[in-house]
Amino acid sequence: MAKIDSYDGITAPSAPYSFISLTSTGAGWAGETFIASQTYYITSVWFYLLRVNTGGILTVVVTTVNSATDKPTTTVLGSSTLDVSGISTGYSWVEVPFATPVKITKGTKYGVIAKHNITNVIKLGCTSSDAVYTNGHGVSTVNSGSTWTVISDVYFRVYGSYSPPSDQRYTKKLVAIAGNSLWYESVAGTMSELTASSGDIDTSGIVSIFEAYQKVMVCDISGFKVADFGNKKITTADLGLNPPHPGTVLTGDTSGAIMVVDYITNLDGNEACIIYGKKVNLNEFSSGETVTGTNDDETSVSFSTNAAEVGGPFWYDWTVFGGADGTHSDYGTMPSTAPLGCLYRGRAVIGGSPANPNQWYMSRQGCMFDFVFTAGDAQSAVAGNNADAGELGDILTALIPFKDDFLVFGCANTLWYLAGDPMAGGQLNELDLTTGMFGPQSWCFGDGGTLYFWGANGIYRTTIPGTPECISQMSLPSLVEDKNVSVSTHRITMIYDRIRVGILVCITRVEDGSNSNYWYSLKTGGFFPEVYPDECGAFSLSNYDSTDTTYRKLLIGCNDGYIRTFDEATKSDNVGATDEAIDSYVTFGPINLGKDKGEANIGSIDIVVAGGFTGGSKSDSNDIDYSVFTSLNAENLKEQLDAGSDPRISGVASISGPRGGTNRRTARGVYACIKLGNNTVAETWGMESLSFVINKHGKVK
Amino acid sequence: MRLIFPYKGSFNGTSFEIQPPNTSFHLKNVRPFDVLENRARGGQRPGLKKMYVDQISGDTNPITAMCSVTVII
Repeated sequence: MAKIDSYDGITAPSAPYSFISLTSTGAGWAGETFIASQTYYITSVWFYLLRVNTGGILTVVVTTVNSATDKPTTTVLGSSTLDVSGISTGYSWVEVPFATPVKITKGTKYGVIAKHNITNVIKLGCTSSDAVYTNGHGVSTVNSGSTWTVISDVYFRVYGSYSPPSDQRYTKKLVAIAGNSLWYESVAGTMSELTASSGDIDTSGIVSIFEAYQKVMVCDISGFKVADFGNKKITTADLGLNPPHPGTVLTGDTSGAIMVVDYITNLDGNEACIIYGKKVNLNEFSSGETVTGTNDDETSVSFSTNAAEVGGPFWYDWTVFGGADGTHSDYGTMPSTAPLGCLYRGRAVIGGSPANPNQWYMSRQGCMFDFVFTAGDAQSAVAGNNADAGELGDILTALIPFKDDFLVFGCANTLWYLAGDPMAGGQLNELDLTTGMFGPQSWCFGDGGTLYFWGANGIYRTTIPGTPECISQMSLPSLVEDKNVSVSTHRITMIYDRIRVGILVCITRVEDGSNSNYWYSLKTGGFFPEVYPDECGAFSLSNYDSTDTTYRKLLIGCNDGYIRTFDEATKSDNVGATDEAIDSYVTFGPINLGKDKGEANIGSIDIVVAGGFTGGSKSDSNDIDYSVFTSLNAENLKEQLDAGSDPRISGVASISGPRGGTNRRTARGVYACIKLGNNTVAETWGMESLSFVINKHGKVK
Repeated sequence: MRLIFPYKGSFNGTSFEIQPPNTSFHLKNVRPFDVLENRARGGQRPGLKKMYVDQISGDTNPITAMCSVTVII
């Protein structure tokens, strides 16, 4: 931490020219006002003082200053306390650290005020008059700050840092789109609408969003938008002769503020323009100042701002650089719409436009606003499609970047991948010509970079490059037929759950949110069917790497507009204002009770529910409902289960005693199934073990 | 006879009489690792709870897309 603002021309143990005694609470406070020389965070305030008595607590506050009266206000920006027992009885510099740093802004006047709760314990050292320190005044009050008296300047030091004293150098913001508008996490845990986006997105069709350079690029079936979280904005009524280029460094002649240009709305000289850019220092552009810079072609930029710098987030049309009014094509031309998008090798990749659904387009590397396809250099914009020579190319359904190494093009009936950069020796290759990809969100990367996706015959996985393998083929052979999904009626979303180590596959009917989903456990290699309430039908999924661990979860964008997550401590599914029971069950079997299809009795079923005895250190399961079905025919058991037939034996296993549940009733048959489950709100279950006794009989006659 | 939770999940690809070990032809909303102790003994899946109290768009409109953005502070 550095000393940034001060009047401290004195060294202990020198006696100050004068002093002021702090009197008891509310009666006698004193300190100094000062103009912040920089924008920074106050980490400690020092006074040159001594202790003449014992006891009490010294309090130091940072206040705002009334510009009209030039006196401190009662608005306290931060405060800190110090036990005075350690303070010397001779004059010395005493530091009062601020556990919570106080941010102050360059050019603004503040007060640092000392208080003590016992009269005449602390004396602050002062100079000879109020005129010594020219950036502020010594001040004191005897009525808790109602009125202040100017006194001789008080020796002070303000230490600070130019950033919060934290390891955190960035933050994450969740962005969600619903109902034709974009919402973002304004503070951790609170989603707010980006007001300007209201009604400016078409959510009736595919909407793709992706992060690029602290912005969220939005592609829908009506056009392109930008939600800009990183840039600052300045405006001018007269751009001057030369508009700035992408990457031009602009400097405010008065403020010293510096900005690297990212996007401007107009290329016409001497016309109004909005400039968005990345700030590289803390100084802020002011209204009416001259801003200058030099473009990469050595032309000079010079214009005057007509408003002070503004911070984001911003919402604006995603056009080519300077092309917001639609009259300029200096930076190329974007397709009118392309609802698929991603970031690959620093390029915006868009595709799937209705006019050319097989075509993809890439912006210039490092510039989302340059679509000059004819530049021809290694970073220039480029466009193409995926087909063998002479063919039209398959319809794009998904754009899937894998690091900066490969870009997979999911198509309606085929899969392709681009290795490297198309303008620097990259190659387009076939990944598979027997399966396509269902939709823009029906894929995810799992462990070790394996790509999982919904294809022609179910759920696939592949490396890139590699050969896609249908992993649902044996266990769920009729998956595609059973689900009968169509891109016009269903949305399939997939995500890797890195905490629970599995792939979540959500199949949602867009009309009403009804759904049937699969949890694919990467630990066991099994598919587990799941159904959620219609309100919870998944339309989008995201692994949110929030800097706040509370929100670092797998998030589900649901049918009813709420963002939900799986929670092990939650025993029901939230459906808005209420909770709904989870209808869960698992069936064991069919079990062949006797050899050579002989009959047997199944009986004395023993179910030990999870949790040990009631209470104790382990979490207890709720009750488990069980039922036993028997038949002479294995397939008939499935028919009984599907039809909801009455079981031969049923009961409830609970944790109340040493045994969860033992049932000594018997049921006779060749095959048997045992079904365990629970369908009660606010209940969950786990099983420790299941066993039973078989009493064999003869062959079926 | 002791039965193990069908941790290999749903399997509908063989005859009913020879259901592969550790699989099930009839299950829903269960996972191989229970929510109580995260042990491979089977149980009900975790429940769904609201992560944010805010209803995106303020109405019952599906959330069609989500992502996150990194912002330097």
